Amino acid sequence: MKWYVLRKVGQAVLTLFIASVVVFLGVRALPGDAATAMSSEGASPEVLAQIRQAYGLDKPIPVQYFDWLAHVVTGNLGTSPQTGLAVSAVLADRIPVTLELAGVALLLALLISIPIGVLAALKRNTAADYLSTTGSMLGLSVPHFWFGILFILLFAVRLHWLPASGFVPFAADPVANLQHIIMPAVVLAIGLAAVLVRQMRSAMIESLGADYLRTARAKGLAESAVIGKHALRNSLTAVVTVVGLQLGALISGVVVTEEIFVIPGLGKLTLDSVFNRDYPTLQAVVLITSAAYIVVNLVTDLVYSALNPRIRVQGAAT
Amino acid sequence: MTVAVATELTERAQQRRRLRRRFTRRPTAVIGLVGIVVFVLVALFGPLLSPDDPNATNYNAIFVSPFSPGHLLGTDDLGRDVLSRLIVGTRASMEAGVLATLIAAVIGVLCGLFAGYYRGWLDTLVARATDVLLSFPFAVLAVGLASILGPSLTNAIIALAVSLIPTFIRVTRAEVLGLREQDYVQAALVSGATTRFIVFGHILRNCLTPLVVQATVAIPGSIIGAAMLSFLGLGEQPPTASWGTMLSESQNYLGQAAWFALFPGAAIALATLSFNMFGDGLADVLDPKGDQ
Repeated sequence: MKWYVLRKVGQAVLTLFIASVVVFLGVRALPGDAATAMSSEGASPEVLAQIRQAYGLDKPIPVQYFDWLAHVVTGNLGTSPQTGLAVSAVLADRIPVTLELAGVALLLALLISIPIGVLAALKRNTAADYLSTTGSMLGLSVPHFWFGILFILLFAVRLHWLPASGFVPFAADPVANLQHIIMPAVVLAIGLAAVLVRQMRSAMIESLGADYLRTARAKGLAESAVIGKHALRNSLTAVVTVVGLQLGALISGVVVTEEIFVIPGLGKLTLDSVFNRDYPTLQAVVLITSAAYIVVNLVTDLVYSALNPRIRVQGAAT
Repeated sequence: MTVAVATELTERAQQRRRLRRRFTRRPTAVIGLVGIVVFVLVALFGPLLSPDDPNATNYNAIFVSPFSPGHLLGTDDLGRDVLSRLIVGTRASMEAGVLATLIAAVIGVLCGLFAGYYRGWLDTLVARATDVLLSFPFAVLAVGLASILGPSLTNAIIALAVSLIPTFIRVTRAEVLGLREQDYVQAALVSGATTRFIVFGHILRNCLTPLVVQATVAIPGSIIGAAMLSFLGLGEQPPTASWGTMLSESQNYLGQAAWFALFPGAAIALATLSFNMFGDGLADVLDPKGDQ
């Protein structure tokens, strides 16, 4: 187990390192040199020279990289040339918003998909099963940004039940916060739940046919314990992996959902920084997102191996 | 000899017939296939089918409601015929779905084949590259590409393709690892067959099934992805008609012309639904476990 964890952590660190190099070089690949990219438009040559010196752009690329990395690690992500604000301060504002949105969406998706997936597997080939299969097929096929627009149309424009857009921090007004977060969270949750229902159903069907289940029944365990303790627990490992794999889709979904519902989170910040040519912010956002993705995947791998010891053995063999 | 060949041929024909029967027994798969054919035909012949010029503005006929004479699906904020724009926009969506998948499949399969066949440092290199690619979610990748190369449908397709490559690599590699130990590969090796022949002739042919299934998942995913990027302004640029840009334009008029948001979204949903239903059926037919 120790070696498995060390190997996985080592791989994650390596991936993170390469990803940071890619992000660093990405800004250097921008049209014009990095100094023009990082300053506001029409900056004078003196200002450009100043920026070059401030960012060390006159030094060799590898030196620049490690200088930049040292800044990033100490939390200095530069300042936005458009707003003059420290990027790290902006991120500190935006990250909690996105975490709340993604967290609520994930919770909703699990609450919807696990019971439906289990039910569909237990009542295989009945109307309930077909209904859940059809539902998840629709959830997979209908683009979530269209769901977003339809929801706004129905619940905000027609029924006036919920605000169409905007965001209120939880600390400021918990009720208003919930009202603003529920529509985008449901929109995000639909796509995720559609994938999870399928996984849950097929994992559950496989568990239900497994030998250990027959053993559990044969030793006289109550049916609820057979399903709950044995079948469900083993099926959940599949769901953990899929949640990890779906994280990329969730992040992409956050970008478009925040744009539709005008939520001031990381996704909206990403898009705004592209259209405003705010490269220090863009660089920071991309780096943070990929770092978060790598870390979550590492955690998923480790949780999965904790739930399923066979993986560790196989991992050691290859 | 000829008898043997003949029986083999009839066996193959029989197997094909069996697969076809299993496929046609699933109504959803057949409906999906019909949907795909329709969308592909519309994409190919769109400009010929479109009743109106999709880009002709008419400020005297703004937001004409659907089912009006001359405008079956109404007109948009600039008085352009919505049906014509939907029809012409089909091509961008299909192109994005098919091209992104094709590019990703070619690159991913080649990397997966050689990484799995040779193992060693090449395998490690490909595995690390896959991890790095996976650590950039496709929206983030598309955002990065759009800021370096500028927003366009081509760059959106590149971003989608790059984000699909890792799955194709992993699927292919996993298959190859199993196949390279098979007796017929070892036999080919001993009999002096070239590496190229073994890899492409034997191994690739035998991992086609999971790859085809993977492609039927990737195409609808790319259609949604391309529409999403166009919706965000990172894909097809206005005034060119595409389903994503139409949806994004409709957002500003939800109060006055709600139906304007319905049609492009429904088009995306129907196209992806067709591919997903077909793909599901195909996966079941090709999966030997699905026989029960």
